[in-house]
Amino acid sequence: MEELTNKDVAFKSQKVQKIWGSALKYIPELLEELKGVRTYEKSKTPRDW
Amino acid sequence: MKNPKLLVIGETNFIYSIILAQDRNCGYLLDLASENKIDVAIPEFSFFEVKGRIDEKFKRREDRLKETISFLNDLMRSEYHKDKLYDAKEKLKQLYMESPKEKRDVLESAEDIKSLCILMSHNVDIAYRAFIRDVANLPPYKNSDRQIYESVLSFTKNGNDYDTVIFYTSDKEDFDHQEIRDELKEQDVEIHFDSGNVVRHVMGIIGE
Repeated sequence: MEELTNKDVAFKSQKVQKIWGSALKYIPELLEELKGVRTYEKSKTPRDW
Repeated sequence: MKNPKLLVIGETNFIYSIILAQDRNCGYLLDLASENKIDVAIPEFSFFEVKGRIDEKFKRREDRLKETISFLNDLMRSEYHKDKLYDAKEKLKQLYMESPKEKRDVLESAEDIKSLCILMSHNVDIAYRAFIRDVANLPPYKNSDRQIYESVLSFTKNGNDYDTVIFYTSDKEDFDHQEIRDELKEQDVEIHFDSGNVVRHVMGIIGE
């Protein structure tokens, strides 16, 4: 799976920006629930937003 | 020319991918939905699943914190341990006290996702069809996956106003079956297991 979006840029919507990663801070153990999704360290094809 | 109408259907992992900051492509799709460039729909069942898991994780954490604080109290009956463990106990107590607020914040995020999506309501008909799938030994084979899948079929069965409908799930293991592909194709629904492909496809259609 390829990430098409630049991980360092913010989302356009403030609401999405607020939601993004909101659970990771408080409840990292929830990561166990994810299936088939990997953490992306690099954006292979960064895209301007 | 009128803009093509595009619907992306996500499921439970879509919500986790965003609130756990694991897949920026999913965040991007939600961003497009917030700008009304596409619609994103998620089964109500998935939100219940996420809420249930969050509740369970916080409950387990609170129970363990309580147990540990109680253990520290036992140790601190001796003067020797009292001084050494005081700070640790206070920090754990603080974590315990803050737990309900943290849980509220996380649940609120799931509600925020809901507010940006079309909610695919769950009902007895969907639950019944999921049961029948089980009896008929049809994929997907896990109960929660069957409920989600039947929600998708129910939501897309009577045709719709969309030019393109995509069902995205990262759970290839449970959803990549020929029967599923055939049923979705019959309802003009594309299934994708790669969020990068979904974003590429969406960008191609909406001309971003």
